[in-house]
Amino acid sequence: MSTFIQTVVNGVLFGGILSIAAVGFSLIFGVMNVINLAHGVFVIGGAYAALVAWSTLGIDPLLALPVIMALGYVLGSQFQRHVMQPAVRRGNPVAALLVTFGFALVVVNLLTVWFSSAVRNISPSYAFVNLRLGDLSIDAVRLVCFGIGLVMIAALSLFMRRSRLGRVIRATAQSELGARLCGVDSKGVYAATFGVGSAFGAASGVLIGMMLPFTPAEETLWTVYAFIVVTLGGVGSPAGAMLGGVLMGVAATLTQTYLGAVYTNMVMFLILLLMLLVRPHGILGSAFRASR
Amino acid sequence: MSISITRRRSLELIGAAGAVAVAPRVGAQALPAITFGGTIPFSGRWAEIGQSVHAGYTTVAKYVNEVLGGLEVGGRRYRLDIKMVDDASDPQRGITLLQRQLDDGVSLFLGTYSTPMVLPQAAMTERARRPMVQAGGGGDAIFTQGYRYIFGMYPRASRSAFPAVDSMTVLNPRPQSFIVVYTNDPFSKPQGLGVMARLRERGFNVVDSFELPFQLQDISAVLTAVRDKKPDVVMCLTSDQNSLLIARQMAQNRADVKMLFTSLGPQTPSFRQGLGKFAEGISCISTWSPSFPYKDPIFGTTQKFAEYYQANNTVPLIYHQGTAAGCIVAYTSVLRAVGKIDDTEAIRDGLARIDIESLYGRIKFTPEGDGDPVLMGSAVTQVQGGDLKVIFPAALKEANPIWPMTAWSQR
Repeated sequence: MSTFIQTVVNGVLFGGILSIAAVGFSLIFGVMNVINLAHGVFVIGGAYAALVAWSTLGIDPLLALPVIMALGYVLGSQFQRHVMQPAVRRGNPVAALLVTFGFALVVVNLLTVWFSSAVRNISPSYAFVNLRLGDLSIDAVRLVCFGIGLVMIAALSLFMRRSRLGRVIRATAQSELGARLCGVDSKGVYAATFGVGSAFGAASGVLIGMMLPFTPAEETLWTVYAFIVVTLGGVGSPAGAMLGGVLMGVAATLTQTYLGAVYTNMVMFLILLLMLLVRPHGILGSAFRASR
Repeated sequence: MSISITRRRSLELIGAAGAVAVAPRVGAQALPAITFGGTIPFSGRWAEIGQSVHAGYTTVAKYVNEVLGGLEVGGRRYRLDIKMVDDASDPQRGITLLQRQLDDGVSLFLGTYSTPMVLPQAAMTERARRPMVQAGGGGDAIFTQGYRYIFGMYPRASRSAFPAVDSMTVLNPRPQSFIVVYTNDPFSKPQGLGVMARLRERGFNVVDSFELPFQLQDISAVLTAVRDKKPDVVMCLTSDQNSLLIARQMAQNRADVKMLFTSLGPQTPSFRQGLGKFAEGISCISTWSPSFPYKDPIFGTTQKFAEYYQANNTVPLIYHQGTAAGCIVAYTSVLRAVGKIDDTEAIRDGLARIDIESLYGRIKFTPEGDGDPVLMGSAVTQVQGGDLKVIFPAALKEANPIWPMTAWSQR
């Protein structure tokens, strides 16, 4: 029994990592109907920004997190406004996909030039603290990052529901024409949405960098994980991203322990396939997708 | 008799000294070239080690060209030209670039890094009947296809970690129980299966084993097994990044063992820095160390190679440079013996028969082309005081093993 509980706890904490990495992707996909292939680059970029803050400037990654989020917002919003929007205007919506893919390639190579491809990880003084609850062993860093992720996702959910900008974003996602007729600057909304999604991506990178070793080449992995989690939990829903991530994490650890670790990816993709067949808009779905 | 130093005389002497200093460089540049082709990962997943391998190749070439004034083959002097192109750790890109070099007439090849990269390239150079000596791929699949032109500086994967198992037999008290962890890729899996077979041959008890996906993000199952079954030793046949993840999670979760062995990882400074004090006591295999006491036909000794390398490179010296350098030493030895640079059949036959001592150690290949498991087997090293020390075999030992290693919670 203790093995089962430990496995579930590990799965929830691992799933928290996946959720944090996916929530920004979910927002962009839900509002703009764009699969952001550069999402992983913002995650890895956040990790490297935290590495610079910690190793060069001596700033704890958690203290640097708000600044890194702000940098992610600025970079993401400006990229969307000055690169993606012109590309879509001149070409077609598929251009957005290609542009994000190209941006990801450029940034990965820049990161490799600046930081090399050596495996990095961020190890502040508390990186190896362990908590014990009876037979349960919990990695303190993962627990803290899970808690921070939960708070961030809850804050985003509240922001989307209660703030004026959140309502404007949801309105634009429901009907861009209707929003523009109401005086909404849809281009500005899209840029802001992409910025928020990128900010969350960068924030997740800070937390991931404290938990896992990373290299520039890993960005694709985090885009794929985000896609799976969002498809499972529901596009455009922060709570869906949390639920999808936790479900995936628990499925992964239970598979590892009781079926065999080599089947982990297979099981994750099988769950994704089943979800697409049974409930394609995800467990919690997107509130505004149904009205399109 | 007094000698007056005029300005004219001074300028003549300075000019003569300068000419002497640059003569080998200028001379070597004017020599015809022996070109070694191939690809190397300068970017992507394998870039850190790929750059180390490349540095090993180019250091030997630089020494031969600049210090020795070229390589004498068949009465003529040649410079060594290393023409490696970036495969970005992508097997598809690697074979495209290699095909281009084959089409351009390159005759002699060096290897890229990692078995998934080397395997398809080996098939191409074999089909073209051009020799490849490589220090990057040890997967069994490379050496069980009946290839005649492919030579590897390591024993094949299923035998490569045998020294790690053998090093456990000299520990006192003798370890009893083992957990073996490997990833599902063409190198780690045969290595892991080979280790399990060897452990059982040596009378050890393998209480559990795990086959994990190649890209790891979580090892909860391994941690649970370590807590439940309390093995003496966990042996991880995993790549550098996966080894770091495993070591980090074991330390973070206080999954204590008496020894943690990872086949790759501790040899890189980034691994040891990432773990800090938690790296102490982790062991790994090392195919080469600068402390090896071997004589070399080019540098004289292993230490002289290490000194020359340190003076001419910024990439930290790890075992990959030594292994790569061994490839060039093997080629130069055979080229001198054969006396021709373009007779690929004779060069292949020379490589198949080679048996020399070098900075890398004894170079002698099996009939299948991989390194002889006894003569070219690895040493076992352990992180001690933040540095790597050879702990096995006895002939190369620098320090006694830390056994058992300090529990994570007591560091």
